[in-house]
Amino acid sequence: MSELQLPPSRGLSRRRFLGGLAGSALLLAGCGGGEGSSRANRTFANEAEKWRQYDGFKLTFVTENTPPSTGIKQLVDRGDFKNLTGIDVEILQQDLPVMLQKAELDLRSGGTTYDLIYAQDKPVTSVLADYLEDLRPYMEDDSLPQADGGYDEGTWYPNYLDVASYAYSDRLISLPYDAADAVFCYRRDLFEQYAGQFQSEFGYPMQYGPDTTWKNVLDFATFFNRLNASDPTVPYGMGLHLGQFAWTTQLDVQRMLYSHGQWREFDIDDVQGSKDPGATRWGDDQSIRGLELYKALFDQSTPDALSLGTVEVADAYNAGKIAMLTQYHEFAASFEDPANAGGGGRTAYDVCPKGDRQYLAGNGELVNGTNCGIGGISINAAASEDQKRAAYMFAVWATNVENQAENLKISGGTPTRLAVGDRPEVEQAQGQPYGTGDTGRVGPSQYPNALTFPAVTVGMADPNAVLGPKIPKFNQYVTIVANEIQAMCAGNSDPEATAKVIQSRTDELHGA
Amino acid sequence: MAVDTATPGAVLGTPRPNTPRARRYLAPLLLPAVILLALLSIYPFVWLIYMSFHAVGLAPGAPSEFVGLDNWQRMFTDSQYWASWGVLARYSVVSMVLEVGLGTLLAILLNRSKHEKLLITVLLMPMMMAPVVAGLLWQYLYNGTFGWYFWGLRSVGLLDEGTILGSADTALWAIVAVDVWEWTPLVALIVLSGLKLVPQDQLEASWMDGAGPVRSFFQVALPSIKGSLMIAILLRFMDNIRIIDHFIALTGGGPANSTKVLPLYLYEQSFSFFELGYGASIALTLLLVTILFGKLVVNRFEEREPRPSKKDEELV
Repeated sequence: MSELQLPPSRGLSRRRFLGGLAGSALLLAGCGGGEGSSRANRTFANEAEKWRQYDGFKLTFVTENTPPSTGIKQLVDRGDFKNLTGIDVEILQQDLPVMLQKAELDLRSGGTTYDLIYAQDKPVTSVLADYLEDLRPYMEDDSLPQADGGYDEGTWYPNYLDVASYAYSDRLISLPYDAADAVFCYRRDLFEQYAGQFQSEFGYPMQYGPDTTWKNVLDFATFFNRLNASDPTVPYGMGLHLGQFAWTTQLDVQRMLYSHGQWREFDIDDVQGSKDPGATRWGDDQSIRGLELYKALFDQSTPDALSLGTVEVADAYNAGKIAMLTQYHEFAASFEDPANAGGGGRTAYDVCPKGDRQYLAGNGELVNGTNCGIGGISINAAASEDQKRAAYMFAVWATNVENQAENLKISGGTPTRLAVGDRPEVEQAQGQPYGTGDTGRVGPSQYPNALTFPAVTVGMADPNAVLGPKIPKFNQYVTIVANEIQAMCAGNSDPEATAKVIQSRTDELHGA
Repeated sequence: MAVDTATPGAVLGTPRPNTPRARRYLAPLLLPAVILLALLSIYPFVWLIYMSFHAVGLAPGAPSEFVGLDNWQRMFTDSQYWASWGVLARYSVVSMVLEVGLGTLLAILLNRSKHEKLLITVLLMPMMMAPVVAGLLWQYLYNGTFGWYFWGLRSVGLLDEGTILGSADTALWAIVAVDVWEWTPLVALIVLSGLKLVPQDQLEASWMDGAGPVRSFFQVALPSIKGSLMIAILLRFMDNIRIIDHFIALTGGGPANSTKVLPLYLYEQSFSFFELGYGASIALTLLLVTILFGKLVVNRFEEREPRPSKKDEELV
């Protein structure tokens, strides 16, 4: 490819230049794709040669504006990948809905504007799975460089590979690249300050741990809201994700419902998902009980809860306006900022609350329901063979242990490979192993996100993790859920009516 | 024989507009532009109609599936479609009334004021801002955690514990306020240009007759600026009926769909869910209403213009 990029020299005659152009065109036509033109099956003298086989290529990666992508962009901009491979990478960062729109237009129309796509497990992968390349042949290709740790499930944080990499078939369509896992964050300083008062009012200690239930959290929130009524300097009880972004509202309700009997929205396999999910479980007794609990928590949350999305609720927490919230673990970096109310070691991180028997309809298991958004890095299946191979090299590079560790250091990234957490400096930053010391994890730390890793490791493992639903109309589905739950919280309907409306509208969506 | 010396064209023999002779004269001159416009707008329009009867396939070579009236039937039975029309109607009417009312008032205050030019420059500044940027700016001002306006309204007791954008009761009106803030200066500018044309002698005559400022405005100035007002109404209506920027930046249609205006619903269906056929049906109804209202306003405007009499045409 590099030989084609030589510009004509000043001394070049017009005839020779045109002749060169024609020759280049013929060569380009030959390289235009197809199995025969690819550099597959070549042999290379060493690893360095393998990495440089696409010297002069250019890749475009469209991704969300997450901290890990910002970190990867910094590594790319300082030349780490270019020096290794000779490949230029343009990283385009957008808000997720905008990124999805761009990727969807490109991929659905067979375009190749983007070689690499940030595939958030459900909003992107569920919708575009058919347009993403199966990576398994590349993983077995000796002519391509491969990741040191391999790709087995055990090399990633629990369930990450299942969440990010599959949809509707055994094709492995992305490598886990970054993660946003729900953890419970609370103001440990306030819990200590008001421990005695809470105990005298509610009859049990105000402590958070893996056995703390949603009903306990409701009590904590009620307690803080009562204090706030007489002293506005005390934060409100609970922060929720009810603002603009429908997906996070669905996640907010989903993890609470899953805590109670591992309730799921559809009767489908969560790893594979389904293009025909059938009738939803919304409308059953458990969904109604779950919404009753959610409404009760909403009533004990900050009064502007309906306008707070994931970012805004974090701002409210940082401003000292709320005492507790479930938040995605990438936010620990901002929570640990000493300038913020919860910063400088005042916030503790733990696994999400457990279900409570009072809100369980039936005899299911009570678990610490945890959900996530795992961002995969995927390859556009419509790209040429060589572009796809070059893109695969970037995907391997961006998800290797070394770069994830570096990313964690420079941007507060969220590594997907377990080996990053095993590094001594990161392990030290996590505090004590989970369950051996006091409840929660407390900063400050030079790797603030690492403070959440113990909780993530427990929350994202079975039986706590809820992985789905992977359905083609995922974005329509979460829009229905979010709109109806907002209406319920605004007082326009009750939990039962809300569950039934979600049921009828979801079934209508799927023709069930 | 009276000769129109006020119109240069009349003296030179150029026909007056809106006469058969003028139409014959002007038609060939306009034809190239009309053909170009037709290519640019009629083709997409026809394609939009085609899409509304199909389930549109995006992939190259993938045929769109003819679905008959399915999209239309779905639209007319879609409760959110009608709810979004309701939100849009409330938003458009209230915004337009406020902008035209306040804009006219501003124009009167500015007209012949001591620092007219400076004040106009200052007043026009919000208009220079991209609507989405204005939306983001106001999102910060309304923010329940650190927003100045939120804090101000709370401080004077106009807001209880709730929030501005998080309440279905206030979110829409908060967005109306943004639109009024950004676009009232445009209305003021248009009306001000109309006020400059109000015959000073008639105004002075009405004052001499003892009419006060209010009566003088309604009896003398208003008839003269009706044309400007119609233009302002038309422009603001056309803008408001296809508004989307402020809504995306401020609420995304929430809470609980209370600010989901029809253009936002159309955008969601077309570009978030890629239901392009259904989106086309919605777009066509939006277009139809825009055209009908525009025509209504233009007709009202034309009613004011004296039609050329036969005698005038003979003179020409």
